Amino acid sequence: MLNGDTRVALTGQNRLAVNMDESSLIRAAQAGDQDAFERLVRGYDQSVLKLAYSLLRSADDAQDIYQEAFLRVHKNLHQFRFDCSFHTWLYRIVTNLCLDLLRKRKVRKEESSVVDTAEGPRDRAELTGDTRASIDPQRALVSGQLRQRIDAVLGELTARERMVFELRHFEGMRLRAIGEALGTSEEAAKNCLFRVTQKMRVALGDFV
Amino acid sequence: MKLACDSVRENLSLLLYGELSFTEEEAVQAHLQGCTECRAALDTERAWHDGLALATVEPPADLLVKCRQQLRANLPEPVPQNWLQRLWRGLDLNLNLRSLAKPAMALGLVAVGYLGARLPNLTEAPQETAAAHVRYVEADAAGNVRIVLDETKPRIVSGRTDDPQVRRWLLAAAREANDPGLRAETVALLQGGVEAVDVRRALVSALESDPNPGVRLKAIEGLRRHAGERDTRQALMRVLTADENPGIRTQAIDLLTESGPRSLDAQMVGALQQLMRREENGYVRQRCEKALRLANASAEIF
Repeated sequence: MLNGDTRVALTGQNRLAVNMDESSLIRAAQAGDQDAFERLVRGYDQSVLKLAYSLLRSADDAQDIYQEAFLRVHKNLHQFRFDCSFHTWLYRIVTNLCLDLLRKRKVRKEESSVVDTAEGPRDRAELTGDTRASIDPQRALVSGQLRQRIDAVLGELTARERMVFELRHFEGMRLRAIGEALGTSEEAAKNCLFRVTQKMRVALGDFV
Repeated sequence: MKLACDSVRENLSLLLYGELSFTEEEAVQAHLQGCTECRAALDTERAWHDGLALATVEPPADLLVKCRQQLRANLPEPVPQNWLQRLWRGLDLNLNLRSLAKPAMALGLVAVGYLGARLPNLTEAPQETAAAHVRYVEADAAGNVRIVLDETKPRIVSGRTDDPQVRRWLLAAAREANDPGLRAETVALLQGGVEAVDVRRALVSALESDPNPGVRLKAIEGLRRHAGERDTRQALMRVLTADENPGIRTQAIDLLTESGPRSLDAQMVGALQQLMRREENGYVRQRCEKALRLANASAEIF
């Protein structure tokens, strides 16, 4: 907040002026250029974190996925041969890590109803994507009920169904790219999405 | 006919996602033209898709920054470029007797450092920490090489956030930083100084033009106390019809109407009616209709 102490790190404009394309960045990072690696990470890390947080609803888990994914990228980047896009290669790593964790959670049935938020832990049912629901109790109620129904359906999905739905609905990825990331066909991803939308329609169709 | 309707309805989501093949989409569209019930089912399908948009969660604004810091700390150290570092690293990694050798080496290094300080710099290596990229190289006939580098040198500015210099950099970062996580953090820092006109302007600018919804949400939160002011209200009304994020449009409606009916002047009612004409999100429409009822105004423009 204002009036607190602040440190502002200035990196200069000429850093932005160097316009390397992604292939050059990858090659530089493969050759050991840490700055190129960092810039490569920054091109994707926000969407990776958003995907992990959205799937796992836990800041700690999302942070773990972020670390593990980019450390694996760093370790194995020398093996990247440009035979697919870097996005696809990265998402293969990220989706595998998330799927593993989702499956473990399913087995342990440890999915918590408590979600980490910037304001601290909150019950999932309270979360509506609206940080000011307290202004209008009726709105909070309707949104909360909707959220509960959505969570109930999401909780019933298999890890793979959950992943496909997240990538298609929230990340806007095409089914073909989802198939590539998950190591399956576009048709299989489509069938998976089809099953999820049927479940969503049954759960939410009468609510809206 | 019934079977055709069932088949169409099962594919409505894939239609909305644009994931039907050309032939499938043609068949569904042709059916929809002649079937009122299936068109109503498509509206319902679209409504629950919209409802899901409201259920999205964004990671806490500071999480990205934390992750980046942690990653930087966890990455293996880059291979040192300086000959002294290479020597030390080689000894450190390869010699089994390094524990015995270290005191002697430390003494040796002190001596090297003492002598080194009295000798001219032979290596021409950069003395400050800087990231550098080679822009171009050129060689002349005599065998000399000229290398042009783009260098970035970090600089720290510290102080309280009401310090004019710190404030100036925060305002610049809120506008120009390439990194949305940094912009979100900066806008959050600026929220407490919203009484200042330049901060308010920066928040309005972030609200209207930042490409990242997380940053825009921070900006709209910061403007809450000043929602009654003319410039802020004008910006919020523009956001109503311009912002692509339904959560932000909903927040804008709430801020504009939270003072009750007295805040709903003719211009505001006009803006809400305008929104009703184009709004596709069921939940935002519902909020908008409620605000118009509060103002005793029609949801339609006649």
